[in-house]
Amino acid sequence: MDRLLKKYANLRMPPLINSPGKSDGLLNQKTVEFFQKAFSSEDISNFGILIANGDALSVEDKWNNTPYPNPKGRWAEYCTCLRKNEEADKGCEDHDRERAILLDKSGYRKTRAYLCRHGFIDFIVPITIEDRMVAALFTGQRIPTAGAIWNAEMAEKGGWFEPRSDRSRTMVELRSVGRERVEAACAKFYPGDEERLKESYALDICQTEREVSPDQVMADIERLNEISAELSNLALKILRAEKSEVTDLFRIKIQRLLRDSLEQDISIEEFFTGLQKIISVVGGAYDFDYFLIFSRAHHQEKVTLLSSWGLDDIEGYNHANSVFNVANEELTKLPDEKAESEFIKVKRISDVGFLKPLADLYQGDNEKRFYWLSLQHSGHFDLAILLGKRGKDYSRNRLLKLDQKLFGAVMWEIPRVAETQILIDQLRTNAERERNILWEMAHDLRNPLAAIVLKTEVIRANLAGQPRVAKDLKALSTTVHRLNLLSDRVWTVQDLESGSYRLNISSVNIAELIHSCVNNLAERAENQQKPIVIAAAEGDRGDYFFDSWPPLQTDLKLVSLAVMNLLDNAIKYSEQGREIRIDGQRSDDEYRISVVNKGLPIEPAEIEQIFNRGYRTPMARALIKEGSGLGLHLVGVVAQRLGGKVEVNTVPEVGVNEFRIILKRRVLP
Amino acid sequence: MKPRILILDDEQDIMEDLCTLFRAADYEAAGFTDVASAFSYLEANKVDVICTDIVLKAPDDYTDEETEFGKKTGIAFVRRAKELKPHTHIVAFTVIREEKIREEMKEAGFNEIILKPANFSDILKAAQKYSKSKK
Repeated sequence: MDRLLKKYANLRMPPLINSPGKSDGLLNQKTVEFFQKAFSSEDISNFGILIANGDALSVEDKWNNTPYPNPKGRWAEYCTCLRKNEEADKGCEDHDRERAILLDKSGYRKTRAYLCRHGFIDFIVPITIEDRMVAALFTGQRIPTAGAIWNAEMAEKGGWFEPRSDRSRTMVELRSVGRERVEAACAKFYPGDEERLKESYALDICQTEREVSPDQVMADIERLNEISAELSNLALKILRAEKSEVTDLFRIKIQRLLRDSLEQDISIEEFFTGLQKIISVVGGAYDFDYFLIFSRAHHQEKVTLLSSWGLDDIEGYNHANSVFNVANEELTKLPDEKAESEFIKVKRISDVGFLKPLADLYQGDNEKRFYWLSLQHSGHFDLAILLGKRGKDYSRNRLLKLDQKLFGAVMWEIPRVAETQILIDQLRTNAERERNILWEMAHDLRNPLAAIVLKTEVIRANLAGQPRVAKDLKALSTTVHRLNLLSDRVWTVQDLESGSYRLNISSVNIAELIHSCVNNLAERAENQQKPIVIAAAEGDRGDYFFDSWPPLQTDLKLVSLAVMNLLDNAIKYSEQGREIRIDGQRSDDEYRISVVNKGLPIEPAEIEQIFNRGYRTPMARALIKEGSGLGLHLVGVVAQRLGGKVEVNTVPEVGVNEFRIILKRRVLP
Repeated sequence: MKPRILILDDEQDIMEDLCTLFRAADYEAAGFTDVASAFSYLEANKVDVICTDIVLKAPDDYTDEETEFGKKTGIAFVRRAKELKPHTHIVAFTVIREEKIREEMKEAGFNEIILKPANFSDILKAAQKYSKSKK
């Protein structure tokens, strides 16, 4: 073995580049030129690159089509070498054989393995649709078209690259074979440009080798395989499951995939963004060899593979046409009026931003395409689109066999997603409108309030000394003050929810804050015989519980607002004669301030709702006139803005309620 | 000599009551509900403090861009007033609380911004800051 390796160690081989295929011959030529330019002539003779983007052509074909002198002669030389290696391999060590078996999923791979192991090829760039789809899912970047131009672009710009599957194993093998030479070549590839060199995908492979153990690389690959398998299974499940299950399944799975990749929770908007990413890839249709369209007409029990097509050849076009014909047939069954209205709905689909690329894809000279989308939208069809890589055989059976291996984007019931989005948009618009109306009202209240305040003062100045008038004016001032507070609440909620509120972080003495809030409300509380009591520190007579607490780093205005609103709420809903108690607990990270009162009971089922804007419990509505349903909502919004939360404990049987705001010790601006 | 304050608010009641209260506080107060009249008064008289609303009907010689269709007429008025009488002090009495607009107001030369509704004592305090020497 060693002898053979030594013998062929200095064998000069041309680079191996994929041969001109049916569709990308020109691109292939560009690749050749690219690499010729990129590597010096002496390197090129000693540097092997196999760009493997399919099994359509044999290695021999590729070799023979390589535009270098005497390729056939070199091929013969290679074959001799290979044969000898095979013979030598019989006596190789076990781990070598295992490695060979591992790689030997197909003859080509085995060939490639040999080529690699004996240094004829320095690295392989495996390109699969699956890789790129997974990449697109994870990076949100559109990975350009398959084949040579992709390599040229990626090599030039430095791009995301991740191998998978057996070919990746080959890659791992390669890393231990030709790494040094790859590194050296890469350094020449970007002479003097360290930054670009760092970003070069070829070197990235080497760096991965240096920085990450092969086990880790394999684990990554396994993970990618799992994801691919998951997507594949998902596709199949989707096709077999009931609609409602499927919708949830799809949403949850995609959410999870995206969340895993982003390592954070994703909102519905982000989910749509994820879909949008997928669709934008679909929009660049040439990234895919084919689409498979699975559809289920509602009168059919089974899901069928309705059609598939490749977008750049006549066969694919014919397939696509057959889909449109079926769709058209369905459409003709609809009454004209309905058909027309469905057509209008299609336009709505194309109005939905993230579906536009897809809608555009169907536009063109064939109007039936609209009908097809229309049918999807009208619920006559359920739809799943699988995007995949076309094999040599373009028959339906072949595609069905392949479905276990389909990866990438799965789109389910796109029109329904669109409808959902339209609905969400509407709800959002309505909520926004409602908020704006409230805001406008709060805004418009200010002028009449200002007029009342000033008028009160004028009257007071003119009728000073008349006790009855003074009393009435005071009552009027109190009412104005309450209206003012209400307006403030609306504004503050609006600011917090819209994100326009700027935190003003300072050192806040919590004891002072609580005393100030209590003082502000003490008169009202006393008048209603609902005294506010601040918990005293145990064993420390005369000291209040909060006096010893170190200051918080937080927004004074917001915390005051929250505490005031909790107290205001307690005063409003407490029984007369019952005290309202402020208590607290603290840890290194959090302060918990509780307001406990006895009054109107809150049923457990109502707890979730009491922090909703405008919500008041039925009993509160019936028995207490005061209240807008904004106070607790504001407390919740404030707590959230400060990175804390609000909790409620209730004992409805006796009407004891404890509202607890949890505040972070240090809020970042 | 009494300090002189110009009150501009399109709410007749607010304007009148402010004038009454300022007069009671020993000011000479001139009140207007329209920008053009206020500006004419300013051209003809020395004024120590202007107390103005922001959202006001724009006069014909103000452009829509300048007043943002009336939303910022008060700011446009103050810009012109400052050109005419750079040393006049300005107090806004307004419902506007958006930070961005408030910054714009400061740039235009407002010295104080009082948010409606406010007690007269707050407005007076703001005005006195800039008219103390006269009192």
